[in-house]
Amino acid sequence: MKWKVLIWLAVSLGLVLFPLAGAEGYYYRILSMIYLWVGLASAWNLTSGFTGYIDFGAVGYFGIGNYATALLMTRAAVPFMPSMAIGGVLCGLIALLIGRYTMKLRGAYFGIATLAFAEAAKQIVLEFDRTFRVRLFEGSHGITLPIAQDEVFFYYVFLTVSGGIVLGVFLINRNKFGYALKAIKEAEDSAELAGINTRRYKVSAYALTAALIGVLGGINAYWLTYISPLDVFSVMHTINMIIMALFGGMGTVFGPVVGAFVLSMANEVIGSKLLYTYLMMLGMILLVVVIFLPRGMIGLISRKRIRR
Amino acid sequence: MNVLAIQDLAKTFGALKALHDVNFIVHEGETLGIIGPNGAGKTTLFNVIVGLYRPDGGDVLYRGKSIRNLLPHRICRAGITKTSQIVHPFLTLTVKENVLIPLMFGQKLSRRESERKADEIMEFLNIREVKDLPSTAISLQNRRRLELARALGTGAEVILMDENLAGLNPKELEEGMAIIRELKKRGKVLIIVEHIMQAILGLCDRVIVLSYGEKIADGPPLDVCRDERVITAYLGQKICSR
Repeated sequence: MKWKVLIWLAVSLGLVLFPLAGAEGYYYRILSMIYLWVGLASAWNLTSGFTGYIDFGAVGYFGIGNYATALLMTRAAVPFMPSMAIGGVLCGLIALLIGRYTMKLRGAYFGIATLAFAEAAKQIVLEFDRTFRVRLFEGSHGITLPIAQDEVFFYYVFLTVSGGIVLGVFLINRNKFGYALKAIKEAEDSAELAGINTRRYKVSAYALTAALIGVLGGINAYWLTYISPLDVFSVMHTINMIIMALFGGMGTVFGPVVGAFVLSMANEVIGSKLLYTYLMMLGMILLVVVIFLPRGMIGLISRKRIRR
Repeated sequence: MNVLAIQDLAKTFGALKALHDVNFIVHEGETLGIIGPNGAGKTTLFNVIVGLYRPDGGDVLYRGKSIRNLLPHRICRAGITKTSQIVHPFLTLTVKENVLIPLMFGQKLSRRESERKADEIMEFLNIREVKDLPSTAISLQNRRRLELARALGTGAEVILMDENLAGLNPKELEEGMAIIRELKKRGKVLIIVEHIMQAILGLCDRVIVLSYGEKIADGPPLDVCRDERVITAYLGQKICSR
């Protein structure tokens, strides 16, 4: 147990001290991107991996977080950090409302409802201005944010937030909240019969996931300095979260971390060299993982074997 | 006072009347058996009582208070739970974690207190040896006991047991019946659905018979076994001639 803690401390220290090495800006961007995906995939996993309710609309909260931060900073001159936090809270509140109803649905119906939510959010941002003849979301023109920070700043913001999310999931995995979510995934009726208020836990997890994704969206907006609805509400973001969690191991703490890391790197390294065949290869790899490693890459190293 | 009162309970699935105005009461400390042919509505009755299904008519009173509009976790905390015929453990969790969950959520005990109580329950049911195994890796007998362990973990005084003894060999059946007798001694109110007449006759103070969603008999086990309608609907000639 002790050496495990030491390894984690060493890895954390290495990541924190990385900027002192004086690397090129490119590496900060790569690592920041990886942290962003680690955070997104881990946050998504908290609801979908732990409870088994597969959320196909997670990008909705990412987009709302992006726009909340962008609008607060450009229209109301709110500083970055509070904007990001408000965006997260807003996403959490919206998810409480949405989750109240969608979390009653099971299986594919939940997936369909969440997908519809994300697409509706995108359409609202796209068409709101034209419909009501106002200038708020700027439709498909998108919003440009002030450029103020360097790469090291974002490196640390992403590292802190995503590191916090992974730590949070790690703690939840061992506490009462985590047991409730896992019980719901395994047998929802049995969970109710054991005294678990399943709806409350499901909706809480969903709102927490949404808030975290919203915060990451806010950072993303300030980082990229330009956002547009088709980009930040793109369904590809949701799909990425899903395949990263799936690849690494759904419902595990470090599966999404591994998945986000490996697939982000693969996208960066292989994706740029083999532009036309990369996605096909990715599809093949995913098929192999799903068929032979149903518990993801993490299943290779985890000792706890599950027979079904 | 009656522990449980079922009043004109009705449940339909489309055109099928799964339960048709069922009435009965359960007394303090009683072990009640429910028998009847397949599809008679026994499991439906249980699911309505514990809140998994909403009844279409009638009411369920627990110690005088209606529980028909409560969600299962509220009914569980009030004092009624069930073990399922098809065992649904929390598969990826260990046996011990399976027992911890009702203690932490149903009784809202602290983690440490739950650990202690879980050990007690597993000791009582003789499943402590397998406590660190995932619940997928244990025998049928132990899975049935795990169902019971989870029900006991909730602290509920009324336990509905849906064929908890089915599929066991004669020795395991004997052990299972001994456990149920001990629960009776501890003051639990038990409602047992079972096809094994040996268990029903050996354990129950009273038996009611369901057929096509209706109650057709209610009384002491031996009387019920001699009832003409029960023989035609369920038992057949062989048992009553004994």
